[in-house]
Amino acid sequence: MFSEGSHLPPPVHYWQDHRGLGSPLAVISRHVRKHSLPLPDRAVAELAARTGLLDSTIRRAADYYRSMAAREDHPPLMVCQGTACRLAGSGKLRDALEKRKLTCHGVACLGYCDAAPALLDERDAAYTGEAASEFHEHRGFSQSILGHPLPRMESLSATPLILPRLLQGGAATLKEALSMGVYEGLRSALQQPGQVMLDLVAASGLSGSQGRVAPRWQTCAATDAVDRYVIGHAHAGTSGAVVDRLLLERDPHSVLEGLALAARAVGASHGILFIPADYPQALQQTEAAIREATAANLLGRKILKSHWSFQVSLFPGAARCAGGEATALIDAIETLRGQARPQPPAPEVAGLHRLPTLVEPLETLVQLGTLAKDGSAAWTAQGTAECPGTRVFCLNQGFAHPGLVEVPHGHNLRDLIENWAGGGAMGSPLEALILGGLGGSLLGPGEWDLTLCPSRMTASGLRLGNGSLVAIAQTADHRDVLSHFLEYMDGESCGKCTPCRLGPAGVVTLAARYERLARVDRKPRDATRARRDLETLFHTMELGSLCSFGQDLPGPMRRFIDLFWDRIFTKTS
Amino acid sequence: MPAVDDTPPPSLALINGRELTVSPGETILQAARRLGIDIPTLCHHDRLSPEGGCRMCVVKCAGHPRPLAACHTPLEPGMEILTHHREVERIRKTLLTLQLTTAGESGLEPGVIREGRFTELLVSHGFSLPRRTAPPVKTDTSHPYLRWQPSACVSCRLCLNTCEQIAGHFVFGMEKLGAASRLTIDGKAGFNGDACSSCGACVDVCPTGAITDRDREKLKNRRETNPAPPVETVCGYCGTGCRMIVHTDKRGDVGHINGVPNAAVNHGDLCVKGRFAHGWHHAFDRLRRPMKRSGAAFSAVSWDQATALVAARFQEIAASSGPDSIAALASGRTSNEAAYLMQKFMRGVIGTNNIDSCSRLCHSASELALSWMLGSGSASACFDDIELAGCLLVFGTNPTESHPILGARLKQAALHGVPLIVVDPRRTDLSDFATLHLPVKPGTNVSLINILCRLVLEAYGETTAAQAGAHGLEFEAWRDFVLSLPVPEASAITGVQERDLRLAARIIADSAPLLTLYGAGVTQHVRGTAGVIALANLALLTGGLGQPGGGLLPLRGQNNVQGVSDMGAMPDHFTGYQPIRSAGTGTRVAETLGFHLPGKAGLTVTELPDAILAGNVRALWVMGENPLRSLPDTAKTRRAFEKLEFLVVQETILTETGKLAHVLLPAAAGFEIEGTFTNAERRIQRVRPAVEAPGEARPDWIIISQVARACGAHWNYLGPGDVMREVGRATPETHGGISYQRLEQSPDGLQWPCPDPAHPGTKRLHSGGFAPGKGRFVPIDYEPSPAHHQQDYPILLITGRVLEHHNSGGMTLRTPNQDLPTAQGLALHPHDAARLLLVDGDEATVESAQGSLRVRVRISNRQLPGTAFLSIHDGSRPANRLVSALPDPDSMTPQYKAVAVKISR
Repeated sequence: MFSEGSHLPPPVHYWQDHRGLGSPLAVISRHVRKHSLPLPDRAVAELAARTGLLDSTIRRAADYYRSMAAREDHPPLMVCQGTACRLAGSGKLRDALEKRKLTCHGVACLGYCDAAPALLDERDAAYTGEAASEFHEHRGFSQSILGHPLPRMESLSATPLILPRLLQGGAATLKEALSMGVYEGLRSALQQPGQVMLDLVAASGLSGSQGRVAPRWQTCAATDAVDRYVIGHAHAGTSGAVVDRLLLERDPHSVLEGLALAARAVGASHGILFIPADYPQALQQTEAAIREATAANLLGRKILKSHWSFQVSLFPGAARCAGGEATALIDAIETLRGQARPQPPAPEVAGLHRLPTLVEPLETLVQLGTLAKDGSAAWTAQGTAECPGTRVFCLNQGFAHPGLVEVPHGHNLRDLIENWAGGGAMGSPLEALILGGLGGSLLGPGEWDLTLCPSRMTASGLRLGNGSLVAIAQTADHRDVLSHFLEYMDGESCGKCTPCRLGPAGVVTLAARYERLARVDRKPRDATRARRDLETLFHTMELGSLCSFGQDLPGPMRRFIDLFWDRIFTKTS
Repeated sequence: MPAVDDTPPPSLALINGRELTVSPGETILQAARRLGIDIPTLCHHDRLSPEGGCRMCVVKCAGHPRPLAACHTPLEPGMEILTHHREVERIRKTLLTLQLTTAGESGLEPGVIREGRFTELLVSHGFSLPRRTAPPVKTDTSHPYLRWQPSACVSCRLCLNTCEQIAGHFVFGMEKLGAASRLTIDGKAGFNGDACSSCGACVDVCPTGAITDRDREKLKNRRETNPAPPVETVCGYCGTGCRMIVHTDKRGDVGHINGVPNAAVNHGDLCVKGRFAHGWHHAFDRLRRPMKRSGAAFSAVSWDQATALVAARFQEIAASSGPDSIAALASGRTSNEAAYLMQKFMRGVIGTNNIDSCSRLCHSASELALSWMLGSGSASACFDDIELAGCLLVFGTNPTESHPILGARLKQAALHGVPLIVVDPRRTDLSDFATLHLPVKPGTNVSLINILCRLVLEAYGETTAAQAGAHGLEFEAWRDFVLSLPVPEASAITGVQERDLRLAARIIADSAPLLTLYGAGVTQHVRGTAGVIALANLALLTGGLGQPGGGLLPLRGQNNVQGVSDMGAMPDHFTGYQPIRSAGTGTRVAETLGFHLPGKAGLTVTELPDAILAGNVRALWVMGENPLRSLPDTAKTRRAFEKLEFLVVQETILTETGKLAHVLLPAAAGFEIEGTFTNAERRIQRVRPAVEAPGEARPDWIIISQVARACGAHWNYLGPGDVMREVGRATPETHGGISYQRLEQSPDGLQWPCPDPAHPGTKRLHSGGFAPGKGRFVPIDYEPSPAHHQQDYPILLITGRVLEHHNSGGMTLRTPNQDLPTAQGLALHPHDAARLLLVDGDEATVESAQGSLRVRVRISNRQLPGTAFLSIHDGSRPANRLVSALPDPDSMTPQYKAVAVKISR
């Protein structure tokens, strides 16, 4: 909202849909997927004409999407390299496909952890599980064409707050969404000042992975500024983002409503959905939903004949972005670089284009509609005192019964694993769990009696992260898991700060040195020193890194090395 | 809980056990520096926003689980900081080890790092300097100046941030992630691409020498640094007046150049010309000995012979046809002292007011209009107002190319949200950053400004409008005049949409104070004076004159073109703009200087060719000018100069004009002289010799004194400081307080008026009100330019500068600047090109009523349709051949910025 009397036209940003043609960046990213880089001048001129952007911006944007670019105008297969898929053998799958002369790109996560491994073919159709493992036989018969089955979903809470619509099969179109009561919350919120919504969020105790969200929102609303932004990000970055993908594909209107309500609460005029460009279907569904909602005056200028306007833009994020670090997302939108920024100032004080900015995961946003419509009772009635409400966990295919489950905060982890998921797949005993992605917590079997509450976990030095649960079975290739940790950190580090940029390479060097010394077994003292150096390096990465990505990752990695030292370094095969 | 004795009180903090008061917003790094504690940094630079990338600055803070980065964490009350705790020292060492052992992937090859900030860090942390392990990647030397050695890069991004946050050029990027992340330079194009302006700011900040330049590389290789201390002086190119440090090599030649850090004008920054284009000082064709014409050739003579000859011929001609048959041209390139002595020689020794300078060709209109309306003909504002302005109006100037340091400051101001309105027929680089760009048709400035005045008046409420009326005299008449101007008509005349005009007026009305920067795009028109009058009306209306962040800032083209006018090198004014015709001036000159001022105003440089052709002027002394290139209608000028009976050219190099001379006097150049230059904000700064003049070349002021003495005058100046003292006596109101002693003490110089030795100088004129009777609104109406609506010549040609070159190219074309990728040639809008069946790179003929040229065509959508742009630097295709000699009748400035031409294949 521009202050009254301000005459300056609001700046039009390149990521903004300003011609009613949808996201200009979606156009560019789709083009890049089908064509090789660098784009010839003619293609640049054509894209410039279509999107109304400058040639130089087109080139910069195309370069941003280079990780998904076609080679010799042939789109590569996108093979998921998320933790779940990696454990299901996607590393080997990729090698095998490349041997068959198929070009492959490794992707951080495609969001099919429950049915790993997963890949997207040239036309962005998804293949999972066996269809992916034997892609050459199933080629052309993707489940997504035949109708990809929904994962197993359940709510252990009587009143699910995140999954209610998905549990009923989803609401992809506006008609379906309206029939399920989406946008009713927005309608009622528009009758009242934004402060009411803000108070409702505070009263409900709505919590994300860091605990309650209200204090950040209040700071954002209280900061003196001419305008504000709300960013909804489906980029948990690290693997396990199944729920994000499903929400965008099957419940996009709840996401949009949530974005609008968050904007209403803090006084923002513009919302951005940051969606990984390798969720092609989610991108398409969301784009369609924005178009439908704008046409129905549920978004855009003077929403539902009120005096409030709110525009939503879509930002297809190139796959990797420091694990979804908020400042890196903001930097990606602003400069197409995606580099973490120092804090303070926190994004809610000075974020995108130095304006107060909320960055919220979709799980938080989709709860807002119900909150606005029905009030905060459903939150305060469940969960813990610190963190009311519920949380969705995604259990990967390493469990006997993988899928999505919504539980009230405070639920016991062991109960979830043993009773809901039935332990390890094929009866294989589990040795460890990765909770909340690689930057979350690594839990040995002794640590499963855990209360799943973000605040309590933070107090005991653990992180709930994005709520994904990955099982590491006895049969796992521990060495490969460690390389996965390192490759992930190296491949996702924005490269800005030294410890995070060079740390993984340092770990590789030191591990190799240790191995050499230990194997020759002549200089045990040197081997000890190498192990101590490794410890110092982890310490430096953990304490020295600029943003939470670099600070959080070394912990689980170090724990993994400690737990499985022998399995990693003495494996003979 | 009772307070424990040793906890510091709330507003205090401890660093290494030393107490200090917390000042809000101050980072730990800044606070530690206050105590003289040095925290190591690699990616930090005081003028950039904290990067937080290198993590070398981590410090231990009691009670915090993890160390804090000192460069971006504010110091808060109660913090207890340990800057060199064992734990953080271990982190620093690990980080440096990582750089040395694992950074190979990101490009660092330890053996190629230059001595500098990075090696200092290594040494201070107990590392021995690494040796080369593999032959490094070959240094990229494809750019004329800049060198790129990727295997010495530590990814600190100082270059990237400097380029974006100071220079405003966005050349660098980062590609890939993690250990593989690398610096990219303009994508794949490198420094030779379009984005880079070759300013070299990245060279200054690079801690490892990964980015360096030809000059430093050369010195490094030859180990030839001169032990003599480097010299601080002022750049000799544009009128910005950047202070620079000249380092010399062992031969005494210019080695490399840096900006003076913290200099008031440039804050340590320089542009491609200032930093790199110094090679011409040592060009092989510098004039080294005085020469006299014998037939078609020149023969060398001694200084005594040369001065005797000049004196004898001048005296002879003055005796036979009167002193007014002799004229002289001073230059905006020479020092104030030389300019002063030149006009004193003409007036006091020869006895004529026939003295003028190149200022006539650019900003005479400003001098005239502003002194008439406001009481002083100079910039009312100063450069520091750029950052303070409420709204920036950049009118008819392209500062990113012609005044790059100011251009960068303007761009940063715009990026920080100051509304910027650019008025220019071309879509200049700055207009891409502007809130609004008004593409005005050349020659219609007056109409545009008048209508802006009307719309601003309308946008003001009644009270504001009434207050604005108090800013100047005769407001009502002027108001009635502008309110009578119809907006649609102005829109049709100027070619600017009505909506944009109204928006511009709203922006100006809502964001006071208004700072107007304008250039030759306003003054070099037949209606140039009218344009300045109109701009002054707007400045009076908006009321910013004399206020911080408001006023008028005419951008001067040459290092001392302000000074040469201040020194009285004008046919109708003595020093400090004292009118010749006023009796007071004559009396003062007679009293203080002891000679009689000739009463009749002299000839302007524009009138000179006609006067010579009519036989009224027989001899001419040209100092540091090349009129054959700078005057319009080259053919006529050449005819005139060939007719001269006696032409003395005092120059550093042999110019086109010099080739016609009867006597050539070799002059010392910018880095070889002692003196002062005055920049566009009236700042008088000291110039010091850094290198020796070649051969027998002498400083201008000595040459003039010698000629004067040979003519029998008793001139005994001990040095340029002596001359400046005399200027102070002749002009106490503005220069009375200027002395070399004071200039030594205040290295950033003094801004005149500075009437007495205790006066601190004047940043802004009119801050105490206008001179009595001044500050008046002047209704001035638009009249079409003679270049408009000429059916035979349908295209309006604009002539002007490009970044890499300076005026007639005498300096820059003798440096590697000639190898820089430059937007040379005739820029033409694609529509016009298509109509004329021309494609990029074609040769075409440009023809005006004065003459014609063959030029290469460059198609650019930065032109307005119906206009073309031609740079003025190429000596083989002198743009001025096309320009009409018809000047502005008031200022006598020719119309370089709108020439009616036709273009054909």
